[in-house]
Parts: sequence; structure tokens; C-alpha cells
Amino acid sequence: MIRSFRSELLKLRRPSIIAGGGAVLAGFTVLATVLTFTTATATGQAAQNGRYATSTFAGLASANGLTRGFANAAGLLGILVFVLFLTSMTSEYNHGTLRMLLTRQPRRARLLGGKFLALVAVTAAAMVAALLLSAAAAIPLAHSQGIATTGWFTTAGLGHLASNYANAVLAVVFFGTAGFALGVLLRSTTLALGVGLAWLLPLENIIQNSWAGSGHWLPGLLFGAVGRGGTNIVSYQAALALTLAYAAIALTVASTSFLRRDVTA
Amino acid sequence: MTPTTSVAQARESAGRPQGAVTALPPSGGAMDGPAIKTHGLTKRYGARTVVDGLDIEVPHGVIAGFVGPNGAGKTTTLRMLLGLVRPAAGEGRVLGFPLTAPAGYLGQVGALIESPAFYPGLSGERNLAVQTTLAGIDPARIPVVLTRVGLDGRGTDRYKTYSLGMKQRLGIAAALLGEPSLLILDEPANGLDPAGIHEMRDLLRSLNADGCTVFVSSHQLGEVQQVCDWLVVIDQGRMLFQGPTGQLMAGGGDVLVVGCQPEADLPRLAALLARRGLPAARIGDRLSVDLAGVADSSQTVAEVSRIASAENLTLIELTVTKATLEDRYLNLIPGGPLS
Repeated sequence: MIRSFRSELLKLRRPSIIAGGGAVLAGFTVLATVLTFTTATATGQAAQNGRYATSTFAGLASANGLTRGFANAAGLLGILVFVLFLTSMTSEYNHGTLRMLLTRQPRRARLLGGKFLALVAVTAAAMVAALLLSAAAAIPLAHSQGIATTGWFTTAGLGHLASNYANAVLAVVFFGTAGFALGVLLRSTTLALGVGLAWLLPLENIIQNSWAGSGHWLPGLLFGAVGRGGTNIVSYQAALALTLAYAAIALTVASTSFLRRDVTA
Repeated sequence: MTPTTSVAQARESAGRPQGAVTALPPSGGAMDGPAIKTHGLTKRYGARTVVDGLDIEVPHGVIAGFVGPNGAGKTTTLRMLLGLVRPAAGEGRVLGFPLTAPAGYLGQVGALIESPAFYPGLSGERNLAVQTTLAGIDPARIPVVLTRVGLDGRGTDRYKTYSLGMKQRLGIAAALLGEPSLLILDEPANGLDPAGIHEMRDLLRSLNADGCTVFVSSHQLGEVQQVCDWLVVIDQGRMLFQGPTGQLMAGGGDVLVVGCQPEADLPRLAALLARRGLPAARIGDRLSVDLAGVADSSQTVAEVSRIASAENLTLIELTVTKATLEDRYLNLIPGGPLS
């Protein structure tokens, strides 16, 4: 599995992925951070009818404020990671490279496991960059809004930084896991992206607007809730437990299919 | 038709020198059996049977050609040998290991299945590095194999900038990375220019001389005839022939073409030949003598020459036309020409 992991890293280090993925990651992170600070008000606004809650000045000035924008970016970054994980599998089918990989590593579980872990590792590293970028953007934004930042650089602030980072990584990896499983099952980039993005973007939002309990069950909403450390609809623990269950089911179904299916691409 | 023949016999039968026979691979799986052996190998997709009870046996140390029309089941068979496709029935062994345990033998197998498959955005070298990393092969092999296939100096170029022939060469290079004792190639000459095809032929011979068994599927029967000393012919998933190339080529079909001047003497010459037990058919301005069953065609050539000379007939052509593998193949395949 280690060889599969290292081999996947070689592929992920190509300039197009670093430049393209990095640009989108930076764009999403800065956008979420800017929106977090510029939409903040003295009283804030609770989440309702599919709209996210906005922050309060006091909340942003708290120890948790430095990474509030980063946490809000997790949903957007999740879509990016979803696409990365999904296409990393479908492109192996589309280019026919899967047959090459399997003649080099016929133990399919190891190949799949190494590939998945490499994607997770790259995602975790990219999220460090996103965290630093968001923090760098948050400081001047806070000053421009007159928000105090002394609470950020405390022991409690560092604790929030670590937990927000961990939650954001968990959230985007859950998005990635869904993409990975869809990629394995559907094999076609167009089909898998179409199904996945249609579900995560319009369909979940439509359902959310018409079903009050959707936040407790729909995977995309739950992934986002994990990234934000829980919401006023679903607690962090409940969201994490259900997303772990969803991820386990997705990986089990995908790996079973991958292990058993003929490779004809 | 599954004759048991040694490598040396196959070589001799194919007209290749005994000296070319080299030592078998020194280690690995069970090397005392054939390199590839299948029994009743079958693959079905739904109601369609693509491979139907194949009993293949490829001895160690040969260059074996795998021939059949499009859709005959060649690629599916190769995929089963490489563990990519699960057989519906039957069994097989590659380098002594069962098909159900491809991890046991794939480290000693180099393969190119269908078109080369690489990552377009990566360079040739980086593509090969993906494979060496995955398989635990020494990366020092990368420049070696690139040189061997004539891609030295182009390894840092992105794969998507390669021509079709260069892509094919990179595919061969990838197959050679692990210094395989068995090479399984599917149409390796696709996209190569005549010089490239010639180089490919030399490469296969050279690898074989180094002890590598080669199992190569191809539609280029001329190439197969020149390179392969063992043949496996299938159609519609079923075995039509397997054995030494020479055994298939010895099946008759050679003709002696005779021309004389003036052309008006042809009937007299035909009558003379018929009296000596050499019936000749007139085809245009030549006579054609069927050499079926003739062990040594040079004796017949000498005989015709003597007959003509004794009757003061002037011969202007006396040519033995050998039946080609294509002729033999077309005779084997039900329904005639290559589809």
C-alpha cells in the first residue's frame, strides 16, 4: 500500500493539478473568509431556509474568530476535493491506466487503499495552505471591520485553530470519499460528476428548503456541519457519527465493486 | 491440436538456428512447466461467450504469436492471463502460478495490452516512474528501457506530445521495466513505421535471446511468420491451431511456377511434366506445379529443368512460391479472409 501511496503522489504532483487546484483552493478560501467578515453584523443572523448563519462581531473577535472564515470555506473546498477524488478514479478508467496499475499491483485493495490515502494526505496538506491563507486574509479584514484580534493569538485561539483545521479536513475528506466512491462505481467522469454535483448542489438545497429534518440526514449538509463544528440544526457529534457511517458504507461498496469487477477499460 | 514440442524443436521447425536457443529463466515460479498453460479457459459476457474453452500451452523460451480475427477473443484472453478479467470457467497457470493468484507472477511479466495507457500530462519518464514506484522496480531501469526502445532524449517530454509510434515505444519500454521473463504484448507494432516495425522485430528477438518468453498478438502475419517460432490461432474464442510455426507452414500450398519461351511451348512442357508425374496447371503465361506432399522442392526444380533441357525448351522462370502464413491462416479461419 505504501508503494501505491507513493505512486499516486507522483501523479498528484503534476503542475496542472498544483496550479489549477491551488488557484481554486485559494479563490474559495479567500472568498469564504471575505464573506464571513463582510457579512458580519452586531447581532448576526441564524441559519434559515437554506441560508447560512452570519457571524457576529463579538463571535469574530473571540478566540475562534481567526479560523471562522476557514471553517465556512470547508463546504466550498469540499466540492473541490469531491471533484479531485472523483476524477482521480474516473481518469484511470478513461485513460485506460487502471489496467497498467493493476498489472503492477494486482492486489487491488492495496492499490485502492494507497490511492485513497495519498489523496487524503494531499488534501490535508492543501488544507494547511488554505488555513494559512484564510488566516492571512482574516487579519486585515478584521482590522478593516474594527474587530479586535487579541483573542485570536491565545492558547484558546490556537486550540480552536487546531480543531477547526481538523474538522475542515474531516469535512472535505468526507466530500472526497463520496467522490471517490462515485468514481469507482460509475467510472465515467461526466456521469459521476453530473450525478454527484447535481446531488450536492441543487438537489440537497431544494430538499433542505422543503424538509426541516434534511440537515440531520443529507450527506452534503452533514459534511458541511462537521466542517463548521456543528450547526444549530445538528450537533457536531451527531453529524460526525452519521458522516462516518456514510463514508464507511461508500468505501465498502466502492471497494467491493473494485475488487470484483473485470477491468475492460 | 496441442502437440508437445520442445523449444529447440519449435525453433528448428520454424527454420531458426538451434544456436538461438538460450537458457530458460533461472528463477521465479515453477519453470519446469510451460510459461503459459490454460485448460478450458472461458469468458462470457452475458449470453455471449467470448473465450470458449481455450487450452493454450506456450513453452518457455519461445516467441509465440497469438493470431485470430478481430473479435476472436485474443485481448480478453490476454486480460485473463494478466488478472484483469476473471474467467467464467477453466483454469490456467502463468510461470507456474495459478491465474487466481496474479500477484505471484505479474512481477515477472511485462505487458502491453491494447493501446499504451499513460497519463497525458506527465512526461514519459514520470509515467515510467509511476510504474517503478508502484512495482518496487529500481528507477535506474527507466533510462535503460528508454534507450532500448529509442526514446532516449525524449523522456522528459510530456506524453501527450508523443506521436503514435513514440507512445507505442513507451508502452514497450514500460513492459520491459521489470526485466520480465515473460512478455505479453497486444499488437505491439501498431502505429510504428516500417523502420520501427523492423526495430520491434529485432527487439523481440534480442529479448528472447536473453531468455524472455514472448507471447505477442498481432494481425501483421508477415511479422508473425518472421519472428514467431510458436503459434496459437483462435477464432470465435476457440482454438484452431497451436504448435510450432513450422508445423503449420508444412501443411502444403507451395507451388512451382514455370515459364518458357516461346509461350507456345507451354502445352508441350505441361504434357512432358504430366508424363513424369508432375501435373501442371496453366495460369496465364505460366505453368503452376503443385508441390503438396513434396519434401524437397529443389529436387522438383532440378527435374523440371532437366526435362526442359532434354527437349530443348527454353525456361525463363523456375520459381518456388512458398505459401505464406497468411495463406495458412486463411485456410484455418472459417469463412476466409481476415475480418
